[in-house]
Amino acid sequence: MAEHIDEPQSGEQPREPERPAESGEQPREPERPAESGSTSPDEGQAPVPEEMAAEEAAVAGGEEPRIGVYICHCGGNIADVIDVEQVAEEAAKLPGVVSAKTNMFMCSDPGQQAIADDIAELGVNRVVVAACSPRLHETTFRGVLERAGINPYLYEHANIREQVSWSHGDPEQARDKATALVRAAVAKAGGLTALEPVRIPAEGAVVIVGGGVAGLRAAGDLARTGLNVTLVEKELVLGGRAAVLDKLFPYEEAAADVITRLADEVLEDTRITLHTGTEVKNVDGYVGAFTLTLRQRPEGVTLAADPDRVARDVAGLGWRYEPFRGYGPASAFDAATPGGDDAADTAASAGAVPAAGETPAGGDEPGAGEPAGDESAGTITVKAGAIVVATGYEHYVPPKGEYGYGRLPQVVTLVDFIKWLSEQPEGGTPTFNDKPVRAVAFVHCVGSRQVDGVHKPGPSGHINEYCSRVCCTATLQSVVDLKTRFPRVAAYELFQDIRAYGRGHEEYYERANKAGAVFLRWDGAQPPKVAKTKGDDFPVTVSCIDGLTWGEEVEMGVDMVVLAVGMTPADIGGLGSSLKIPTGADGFLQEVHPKLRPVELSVTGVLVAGACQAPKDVTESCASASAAAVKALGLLATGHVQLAPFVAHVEAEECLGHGHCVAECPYPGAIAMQDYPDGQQRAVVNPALCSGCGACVAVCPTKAIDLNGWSLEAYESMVDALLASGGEVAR
Amino acid sequence: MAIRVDPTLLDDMERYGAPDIKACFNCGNCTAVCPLSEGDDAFPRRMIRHVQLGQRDALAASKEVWMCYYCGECSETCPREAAPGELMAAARRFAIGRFDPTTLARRMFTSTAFNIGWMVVLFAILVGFLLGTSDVLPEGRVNTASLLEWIPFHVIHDMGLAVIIILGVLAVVALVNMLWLLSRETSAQGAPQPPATPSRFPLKAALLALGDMVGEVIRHRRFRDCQTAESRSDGPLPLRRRFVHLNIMFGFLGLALATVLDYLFKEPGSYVPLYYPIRLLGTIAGIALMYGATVAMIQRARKPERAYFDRSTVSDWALLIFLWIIGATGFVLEIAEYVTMSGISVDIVFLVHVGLAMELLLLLPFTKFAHIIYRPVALWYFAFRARRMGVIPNNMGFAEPQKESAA
Repeated sequence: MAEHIDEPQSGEQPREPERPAESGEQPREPERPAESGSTSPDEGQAPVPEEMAAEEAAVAGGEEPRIGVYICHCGGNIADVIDVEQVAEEAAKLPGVVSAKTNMFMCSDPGQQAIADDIAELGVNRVVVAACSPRLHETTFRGVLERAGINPYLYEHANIREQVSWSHGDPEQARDKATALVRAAVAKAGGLTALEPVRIPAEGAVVIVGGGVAGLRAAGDLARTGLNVTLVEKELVLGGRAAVLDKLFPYEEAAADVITRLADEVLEDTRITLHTGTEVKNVDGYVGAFTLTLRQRPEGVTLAADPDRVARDVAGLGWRYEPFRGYGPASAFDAATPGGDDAADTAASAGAVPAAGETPAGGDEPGAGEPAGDESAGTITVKAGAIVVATGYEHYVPPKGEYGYGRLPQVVTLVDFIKWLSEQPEGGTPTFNDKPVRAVAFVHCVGSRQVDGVHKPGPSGHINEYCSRVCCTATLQSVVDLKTRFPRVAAYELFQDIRAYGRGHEEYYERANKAGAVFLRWDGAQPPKVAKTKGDDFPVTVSCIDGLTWGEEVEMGVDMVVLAVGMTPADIGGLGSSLKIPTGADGFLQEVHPKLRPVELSVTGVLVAGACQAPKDVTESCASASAAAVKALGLLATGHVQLAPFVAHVEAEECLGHGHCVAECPYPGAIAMQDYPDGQQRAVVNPALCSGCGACVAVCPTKAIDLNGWSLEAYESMVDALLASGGEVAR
Repeated sequence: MAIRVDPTLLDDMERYGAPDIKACFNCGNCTAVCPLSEGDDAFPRRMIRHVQLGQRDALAASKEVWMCYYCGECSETCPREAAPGELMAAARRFAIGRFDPTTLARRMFTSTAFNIGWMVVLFAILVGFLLGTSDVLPEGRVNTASLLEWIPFHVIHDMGLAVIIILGVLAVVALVNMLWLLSRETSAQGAPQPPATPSRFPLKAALLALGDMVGEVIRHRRFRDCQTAESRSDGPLPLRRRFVHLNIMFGFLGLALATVLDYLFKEPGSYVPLYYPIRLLGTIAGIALMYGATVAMIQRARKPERAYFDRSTVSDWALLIFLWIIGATGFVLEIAEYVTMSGISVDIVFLVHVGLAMELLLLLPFTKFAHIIYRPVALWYFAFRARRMGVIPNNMGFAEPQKESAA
């Protein structure tokens, strides 16, 4: 991040730190990639918001405040406790208020219309609505202002439901408090100035980290929208963890087919630059203008995007799918010659026009979305407006001795078992290590739903308390496969709960059941035991305290024990250290909100797709990848990223360059000191990184820095208004 | 000791007549709705678990197998349509097969072809044996006396004795088998045990248990509970399964008693009037048997919407058909005593009657009919166990404390 502080000095000043409306400057036209076609949906539309912005600024600038106050009954939620008419009467007396009205539901169409009418007929130019929490309807009312032709930020919201009527029973005190809050809101509204959302020119390009099913899905989706895509895969092959599967539930498609289709889509699309054997080392910047530093291993392959959109000859690339390994060039599977592989070179040169993506570092400013790189050093620099993190998961690796894993050769993971089963010839008895397999025990929840005190913490330092979700169905699927192909082989399932949660999953349970699999239910605190048998027909004995047999101990002789290993969070390397992406207690990446912003990470512009977020099956990974793709498009489609305008700004004349603000700012890069032509250093805010917390305002000795929309002056006027209401106000 | 899983019993039970049981996913609804499963009894679920884990001995030795009267509530409630009620019936067949040392029962239950074939062959042998003892046909008026001239009484008598001796030996062996298994399994399960074996046989408890058992058998009280617990009914009393079963049971017992009394007090072939007490007993018992068997067969054939009529095995049908034909032929012979009848048809009826009656007895340990022995003995055994532990069997529910679950 440190480099960004220097950016203004470099003469390249892509971010406009001041509000365009106030300065009267047009925000800089974003740099768009040179597009040969006009397929981009946003092309030609980008200037429109700026024109509107200029108009609005003219409307709102320097007028006498004419304030409209609107009190909501919220049905009876507010009016049952508060005499809203009295509040309106009081409000009408306040200076600047030209209209004070009540409505049964301000958020209803008639309520909204009342505001719009006042704006049109009475020339109301500041609006206060006293209603529910601003979380609920602030945006609604800002929209009313915008549609009525005035700046949406000339609006103030007073919460008299959660903060008054719902929390105070005494009608008189409640009324007084509501009146006081309205008074304060009116005081603030009088001083509001028009604001414009922060607009950041956005690169029309997305970097997707991870070439598993989620990354491939997101890449295909995004490229089709016209954005440039760079897909970065750590391994030499595409397909990720899905490649360890044979068939995918619930429709039994071959994993090979699904991965091949997804990957071919990516290979065919020349908007996509593909780097295999490549990891993200560092990320700088912010939404709309990220710079990623990638490091490519010598064996890695790059397929560059082609601005002329000449389709790649996918067949000519010679890529292929290797079962249980993935989809990649021949060189990727040739372990004997790591590195200097002719095939990869051929593939890269056959498929790509080298010039497009590979500008040498330090050259001309690269066009947006076009990666700049120095391939000789293995370092590639890519600019992107948004990043999709699709780094996937790792299978849980049982520590040596857990259920005999690593000690008894008969104990394998489900991943191993799937591969083994797929390699068994049809008919007869399957063999493992040249011994016939007559009975197999499947232990569920290995590495998942661990119990404190029973399981030892793994390398992460904590136990995996979460359910990995997919292993139940995957295990049942394998049992069905086993019993279908080898009906005489006994199958035992030792489970805690069968969580066959998805469409078509339960059918696997039923089929396994009806195929004669025997189910035994253990309790989390008493996991099954796996032991070598002496002098018995079967080499291994599995036993558990079986809840389905009234807590009796049940044992069975088996030839194989299959551990249904769960998912663990993958290390996201340089991404994590650069972006400080928060993880949940389980170690998986955590979205901002599971319902409201399900594929967004707390760093704006960084989206999450697939099982790096939580255990997901292939279907869910693809769904979240498509969602992330749409979110990325939504951010970048206009060529600008819009952010809320409530950020700090510096009055240059007042700033004496103390630099306290820089020291205090908790957001790296949000404020920096800049050399001005007069030799003075002054603070400059980067609105893209500023969160509007106000820490800088508090420490500025000259009061040169203030928050848009929440100025110190506004706070003071609100406090004055609250105190002016006299008497005790219920708190 | 840990239970060792044997996954092959699930497949075996299919052949015993429970083809749907693999669908069971151990939810326990069957036990929850069962009107007879109380306290720690957990049938049919416990039986199903025995089957899933392959606990053959535990399954055969379960008292629950003999506590169930198949009201069908479980099968109708089962969310997986695994037909747990059918499993209980199959478990009874399995138990009968397990106690029989000759493996004949197992073969008959698990193979329709063997079952029917063996019954036909045995009948042919019996009839052939009877015919071989005489080369004359009865002439003129056909009545018992003349028929007994044709097939000499002593032949029938000796054959009957032989059949009863064979039956007795088989029954004793099977019962020893059963009781040995019961005692071994009930102690193996780790359930609370009666006091250490006293020096003297606990006769009092045994007699009290006998009373418990006889009371239950005569009144079919559990059968009644089984029925009344249903919110529905099978129609008027004469059509209800308990009533029908009581008719069949008392009809058979009445006829058996009349036969024994006849043997003891009546000159073979002599004429007695209809009101002669033994003849009267036989007639009334025969009517009851015929009524019960007829209604039972009609119900099985028409399959009213009840789980217990859903599936009828060869052994279900064979028992009813045997009883019905023996009853019907008996009535023809009785009528022939009082009404002039003639011709070869009565001879054939006579042959069939005697042949089937002997076959029924011979096959008793190997067919569904065996429940007439096993059910009372099992009920007695568990009542005896309960009595020895000082538990008074309540309605034969035997609130026997089960082993605390290990969890």
